[in-house]
Parts: sequence; structure tokens; C-alpha cells
Amino acid sequence: MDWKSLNFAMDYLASSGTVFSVEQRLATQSALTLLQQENQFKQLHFIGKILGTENDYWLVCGIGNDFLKDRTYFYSNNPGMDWVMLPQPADDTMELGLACRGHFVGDPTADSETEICPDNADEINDGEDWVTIKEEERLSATVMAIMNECAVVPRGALIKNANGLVYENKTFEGLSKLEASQFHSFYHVRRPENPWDRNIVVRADYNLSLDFLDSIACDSPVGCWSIQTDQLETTATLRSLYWPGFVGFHQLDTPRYGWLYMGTGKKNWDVPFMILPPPERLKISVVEGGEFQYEEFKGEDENEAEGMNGFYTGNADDEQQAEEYDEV
Amino acid sequence: MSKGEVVGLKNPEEYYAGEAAEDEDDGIICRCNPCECETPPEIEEEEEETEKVEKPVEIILDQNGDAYQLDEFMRAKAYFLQTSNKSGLNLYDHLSDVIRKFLDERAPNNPVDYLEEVSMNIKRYRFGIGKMDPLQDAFHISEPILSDAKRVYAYWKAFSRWNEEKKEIEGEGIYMGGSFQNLLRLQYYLEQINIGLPREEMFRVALGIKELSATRPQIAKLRFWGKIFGIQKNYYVIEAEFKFGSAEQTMDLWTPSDDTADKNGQEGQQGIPPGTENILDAVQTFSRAKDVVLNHEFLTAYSKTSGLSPEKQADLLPKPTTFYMPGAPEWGGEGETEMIEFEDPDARADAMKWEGYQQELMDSFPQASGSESSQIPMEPEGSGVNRRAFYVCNVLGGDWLLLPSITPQQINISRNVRWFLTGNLNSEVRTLPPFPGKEGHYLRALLARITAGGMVSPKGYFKAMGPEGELPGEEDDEELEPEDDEPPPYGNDNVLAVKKYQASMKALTNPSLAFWVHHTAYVLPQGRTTWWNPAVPKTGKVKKVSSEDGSDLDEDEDEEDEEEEEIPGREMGPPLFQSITQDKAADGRAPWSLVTSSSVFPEFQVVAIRSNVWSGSNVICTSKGKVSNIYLGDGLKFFPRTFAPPVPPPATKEFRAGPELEETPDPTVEAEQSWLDKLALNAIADVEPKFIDNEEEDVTADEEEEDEDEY
Repeated sequence: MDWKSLNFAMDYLASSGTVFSVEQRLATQSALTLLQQENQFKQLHFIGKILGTENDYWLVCGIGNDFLKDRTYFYSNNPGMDWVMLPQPADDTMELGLACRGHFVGDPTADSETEICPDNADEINDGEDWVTIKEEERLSATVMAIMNECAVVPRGALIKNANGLVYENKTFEGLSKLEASQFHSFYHVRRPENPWDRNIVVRADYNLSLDFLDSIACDSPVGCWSIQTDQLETTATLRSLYWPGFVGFHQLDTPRYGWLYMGTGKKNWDVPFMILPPPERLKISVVEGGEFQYEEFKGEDENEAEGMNGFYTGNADDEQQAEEYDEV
Repeated sequence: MSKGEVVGLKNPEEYYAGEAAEDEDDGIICRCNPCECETPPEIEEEEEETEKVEKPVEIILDQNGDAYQLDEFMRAKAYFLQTSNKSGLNLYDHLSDVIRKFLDERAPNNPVDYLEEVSMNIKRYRFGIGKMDPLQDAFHISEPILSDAKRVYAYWKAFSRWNEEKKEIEGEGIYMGGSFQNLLRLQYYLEQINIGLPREEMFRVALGIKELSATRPQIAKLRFWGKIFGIQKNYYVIEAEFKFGSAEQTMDLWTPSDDTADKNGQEGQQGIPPGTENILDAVQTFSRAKDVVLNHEFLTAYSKTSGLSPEKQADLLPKPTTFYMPGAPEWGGEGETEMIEFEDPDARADAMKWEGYQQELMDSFPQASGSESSQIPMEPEGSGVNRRAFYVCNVLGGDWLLLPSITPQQINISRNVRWFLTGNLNSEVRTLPPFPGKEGHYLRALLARITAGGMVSPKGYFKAMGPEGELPGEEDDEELEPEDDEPPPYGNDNVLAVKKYQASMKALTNPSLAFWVHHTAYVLPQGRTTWWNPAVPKTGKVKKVSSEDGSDLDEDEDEEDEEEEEIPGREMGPPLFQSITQDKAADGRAPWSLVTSSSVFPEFQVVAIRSNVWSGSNVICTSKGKVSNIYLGDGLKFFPRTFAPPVPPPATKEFRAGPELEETPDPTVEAEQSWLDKLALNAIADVEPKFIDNEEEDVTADEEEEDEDEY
């Protein structure tokens, strides 16, 4: 969420254990104002912080014209005062960074190590293949992953115009209580990875300019997100089980929403072992996810899918289709 | 309606001539129509009808009338006025509404960018979504909000000052409460290190603590432990310590309730103690297997494994009746005893074999003793991991539930699994190895572990009390030499905060963290804080043992040392008040991180220590020496690798190979008949028993020889 609304948002995020002191707010605000001025961002989003053993990383994301494409990331090693641009992760660092063990230290030049196992290795010996990357690379991989997997907006908050430009919807009026308690009302803020029709086939009231993003209901396993409404039923709180420490909120029936990540920066890969899909979640998956899963299953067998269904041509073309739709 | 208009519009010149002059004024009003925001839609539609008819007239007059242009215009308008088969709308009305909305509201800026959304919203409202909903229009406050308001109101009634006078008149007296924290002040300090909860929540927790301490006289001390986030709901946790000797700790006790628990409950009502399900099944099995070979001794051996009292064991047994032999028909007569004289050597051999088999079964019958870990006794309430009790609730303002005491098995298994809390105490914990209990038990195990691992304090803030809670009368005198004391007995973490504690910010902010110590007892790998010796069979009650342990340690350290040397495999943890510099994290990084608050005002600085092992566990110390522990997290221990559940154990062997499982060819009818005849008539032994397995022939032959010898 834009840092200008951070003070306001903290009222809603405080319930998840994160509060900022007055001093911190003041310092961060002034630093971010200068950062925005220097870089001429339209918006400057506060991502959160990654807790290191010695220092914390404060993270922001500057947004230009397009909400999804024009993004620049910055991190700060002292509490939100001096900002350094975060490099884009290479493809292999992306995987290595997420597999790194241990905590972040808080020093960008520190080593982060992980163990890799060659694909064709017959037996795995502990500590045999250690790969070391710099913590800055790991940080950038982690931030990209968080943005990719966690950043969510309520449906309708972002809009895509005829030119393909994505921007905030000024006429967004918020989700109702019923809508906000369902997974398919929250969308990933990322370039769509699922087939473009996956969202809209289950919506009677679909709107191509709103439903162009991936819904979190498609994430697997079912129940890897948590949605709670607060005691007075004014705010819905989202939590990702893959990234403990991620909290999103949406104040019902208002255009206010946002999210924050305050965690160790370590992805919890164990989610499938850790949850018991409750019956109501299963029901949701039947109503909304069932058809997706079925189609996905069809899509894996490409020949069959092509033969049976002309416009659904399997997983390999998903991204292509998404891009095609981008261009439209 | 639309048809009529279209028909009418086909001959525009007709009205054009006649009505032009009269309707000029109307036409002008029509043009301004978009500005009339207060016009109700119905009236407006009516006006539009007239307007649609008359507008062209005016326009044409203004534009100095060209018939051709008029025709084009009318056609375009007719097209706009086409009513959709699907929605019943027409574009003309819709556009005028869109334009009016923009003009009325003058928002947002850059209206052209939001044309689509505004248009969509207008369509939506036209269909009545969000406006015409009778449920939404009716006044309604949902049930949870209402009950919450009632509850809070009741609190005020109960606790607020202006009710005190009234109560004194009624003779109820003022509430007596244990000590509790000032949570709002705590929140202020937490805020300095960028954690905390909303003030409203803190205040509600404080209300809950106040209510508990006012209504539960057995509670000595209450403390806000923290908040644990779950998938569906969150847990607020209050740590309680009971007064010594108070037996009423079952008042708010949470008991697991679901299908299986209900079943147990029903059985309990029928007078059968819980936990006997398996034995009951065994009775049924036995009764069904009446005709199968089972003798009384065998059953006695089996029933001894049930762990019941001897009288109840006897109930499990079928009444001792005839001793049936394999293959022997039942008609042997009821008066017959086990001492059957077998004149037939084959039958005797058979009987011998069976007796041997049964003897062997009885000797090597598997005992349901279980592994060593299942024998480790639970620490009694009020000591060790169960010294603290925990109240939890999901919704502030709801009832606080006391979690049951934790067993070492539950602690140990909770160490080997990773599981997300859902927020429902009764939900299942489906892990491998299987967790013995519901989520409430798992939560309790987590609380015990986090308390043991994540609670630290500045050195010298806490002071050990006597082993069994001697009242700290002389505490103030001993204050001067706190650190020179002998370490408290092992496993006893009954500590008391030193009054007038002076915090040294310089020492506490030392990056080596040497001035921070654990003040909770370490939980041994056994799942207890005091080690239980499996070699010594437990005598008497567990409570006695643990208290003896403590006193032994106190009195004779030398003896204890000797014992330690003697007992192999004794588990030792670090002593109480050990510095956190000794701690180790699984990833080799620092297990604790130092957090300091303001860099501008060091006078008001707050120092905090954050656990990296139990993310979310924090302890703060202010410059005035206020120390507080709080946990705000997911209940997940930091785990450097990815978690892989163990492979399930191999299935146990169900049957032991014995004679009743051996395959034997069925006897022919003749053979069977002859065998029956032989038995019935007590026939002579020279008839070959056909149905005995061929392998036995040698034996029988030998026996025959022996028999012959005897004769």
C-alpha cells in the first residue's frame, strides 16, 4: 500500500502484532518522501521488513505508470532511513535464494548458503554441495517471491484500461462482507500466470477490466490462505501460510486495503503437511476450484486438451495467452 | 413503449409541423435535464418520453432545418433508444445517467479514465444490486457484534467505579483480585520496539484478566502471555499460576468435544470407564469366537494385559466351561472336564500339541506395555511444565478456557511435527507421528515449549523462590546479594520478580547479550523439566517423587552427584538463570536479536530481545526496570530445512503362525464319519485318522510305538 496511507493502515494491521512507534513513522515518512521525490514515482509502496539477526531490512517498492510492470525495489538496512536499490534476481538465484537456510543476518554482503542436490544424484550426503550467494541476492529473490506470491488486492481495486495499462480504480467501493470472506475476491498483484479465463468462467458478473488477475483461490493447496474478519466485522484480514508474517487487510465496503510483510524472510515450504482443509474450504474448492482443477488436469495432457477444446491449449500456452490478453 | 416510439419517429415531420412552437420550452428544459440531480428516475423517464418526441423539433429549428440532417439524427437516436432484449436498458438513458453522475459528483478527476467503471456501477445499481436488497435495507446487527457489546457492557456494569457504592450496600464487597499487569502501559512500551496489539485489544485482554482474577479465587497470578495467530481464529493466551493446594482447577477446563469424545462420554455414563474400548471389542470377539479354541488360562493372560482391576478382568472372561478340543465335536457332554483321557494316541498327540501351542502363546503373549516414552509420567499440576496453567480464548469477551495439563508424550511429539493452528481447540492435528490429542493439547504443548524456550529476563530481575513455594518473606533482605545464591533446584522455575530492580541499559544493550538469562525451566528431551528415571519403578504417587527430587537436590548435592554418575542416560538441561549466550539456534545464526527503541531519546529507551528460534517471542525492559515477556506469532519454531514427515512404520504382524492357521485337507465324509464313530464308541486305536496332517505321521507313529511299549 502507498506509504502515505501507512499510518492509517497500521490501525488495521496492529491486530497482527505489528505497530510502528511515532518516532519510526516520522523518520520513515520523511525518508520515503525524499526517495519518492528523487525517483519521481507515482506511488511508493511500503512492503514491510525482513527480520535479520543483527539488522532488519526495510523494503519499499516504487511504482511508475503501470502498476504491474513499472516497479523498482529499494531496501534499507538502518531503520528506514537510507535506501538502496535492490538488484533484479537472476533466474538461478531466484531458486537458490528461496532455498537458503537460516535467518537473514542483516548485512547485504554476508554469505547465505544452501545445499543443492544434483538432479541425477543417487544418494544425498549432508553438506556435500554447498552453494553460497550474497545476502543481497537472496534478499532480492525473497522480495520478488513475496511480491509474486503474497501481494494481493481485493477484486476491483485494480483496473486495466483499453490500452492494457493497469492502475488503481478510483471508483472502487470495497467488498461486501460476504465477498470479502471468500478467496476468489482477492487477486494476486502480478502478471497473470494462470490462463486468462480461469477467473472469469466461475464468475457470473465477470468484467474483463477487473478480472484480469489471478485469484488466490487458485493457489494450491486449498486453504493455503487464511481470511478472518475482525470482531466488529469491519475488516477482513488475510494471511499467507506460505509466508508467515504476511498480513493483508481490507476494510469492508470502503476502498481501503493494504498489506505488509513482517517476517523472517523464509518461505514455509511445509504448508501441505501443516493444514487440514476444513470442510467449508473444501466446499469452496468444489464450487470455485473444482472446475479449474479439472481443466488443469486436462491441460497437462496437451494432445487431449487440444483435441477436445480449441481455445484451451494446455499449460505451455498459458503464459502466451496471458500475454496476448495483456496486449488486448 | 419502445416500439411506439420507433413507429412515431418514422414520420418525424408530422409532429415537427404541429407541435414545434408549443414545446420549445420543454425542449430547453430537457436539455438541462442532466443538471437536475434531484429528479427521481421515474419522473425523469416520463419526461424523457415526451422529450424524445419533441427534441428533434427544437433542434431542427435551431439549426435552421435541413430535412436530410433531421433524418440522420432521428435514425441515430432511434438506434440509441433501442431497448436491449437482455437488460431492458437503452443506451440513450444510460448515457444521460452517466453524464449526470459525472456532473453531479464532479468526481473522480480525469473522468474520462473512469468512464467504464462509472458506467458499470450505474448499470449495477439499475439492477438494484446493493440498493434494493431488503436484507441490507433492513436494520440488522449481526449476532457476534451484539453479544460482544452485551458482554462489554456487562464488564462495565461489573467493574466500573460507579458501581462500587451500590455493591457495598448490597454487601457483596469489592472484588479481590490477584496481581495483574498494566497492559496499556505495556502496549506503549511494545510500541517503542514496533510490535504490539491495538489498544482496544489490549484493554479487552485486561478486562478479561480482571474478570478471571475477580471470579476465580484460586488463581494467584495472571499474566498476558501473548497472542497466537491461527488460520480461522486467533488465540489470546493468559498465563495463570494457582495458589498452593487449590484443588478447583477444573472450573474452566477445556475438554475435547467431538464425535469420539462424545462416544467416550456416553460410555462413561453407562458406567464403563473410558479407555476400555479395545477390551470391549475383545469381549465381543471372544463371544463370537466361542467355538474357536480358547481356554480360560489363555483368556486370563489376555485380560491381564487390559490394565483393569482383577474383578473387572474377571468380567471380561467367558465363564469357564467345557474344554473343547480341536476337531472334537461339542457333544462331549457338559459334565466333562479338561482331564479327558485320550485313549486314542493321535487325539492325545493332538491335544498335547495344542496345549504346547497355547502355553507358548501365553508365555510370549505381547504385552501392551508400549515404548519407554509412553511410560514417562506426567508432571503433576503445579510443578514442572504444568506449573503454569494457560487460559485461552478466541474472541475477546468470550469465555476463557483452561487448557489441560500436558503429558511428556505430547510435548515430545509436538517437537517432531509442524502444524498450523486453526483456532479451533477441537480440531484435529493430523500429523505423523500421530499427535495424541486435539489442537487444544497441541496448543498447550506449544505454550509449554515457547514458555521454556522463549522467556528470558535481564539478569537479576527474577529471584528463585523455595522449591515448594515458600512464601518470600525475607525476599527484600536478600535483595542485596541476588547473584551469589546457589542455583535453584533443577526443574524448579518458581521465580519472583525482585522489587526495585535497577536496569542497567548499558549492560543490557551489550551485543554479547550476556546480561539476559532464562528464567523458565528447560524442558528435557524426556518432555519433563525434572528427569524421571525409567530404571526405578515408580513407587507411590508421582508428586512425591518430584518433590523428593527437589529436596534431595537441595540438601545433599554430593549425593545427587553420585546418583548422577550412577544413572546412565540421565538427561541434564542447563540450570535456571543461564545466560542466553549459551543458546544455540538450528541454523547456526544468533538465536536472539537485540532491539532498541528510540535513537533520539536514550533517556526513555526501551531495550528488547527478540527470539529468532521462536519468532514472535519478545521480552522488553524499560529504563525504569519494567520487564515483560510477550509472544505475538504463529506458533512455528524456526526450522532451517524443509520439513519431511517420517515414513510410516511397517504394519505390525497380525497373526502368529499356529496349528489353527495350517492348511489341512478336508476329511472325506467317510473319514469324518468313521472318526466320529470311533470317538462315540470309544473305538479301538487301530483306525487311521485320515484328517491329521501328513507331517504329523512320524510323530504319531513314534507315539504309537511308545504306546505299544507301554502296553
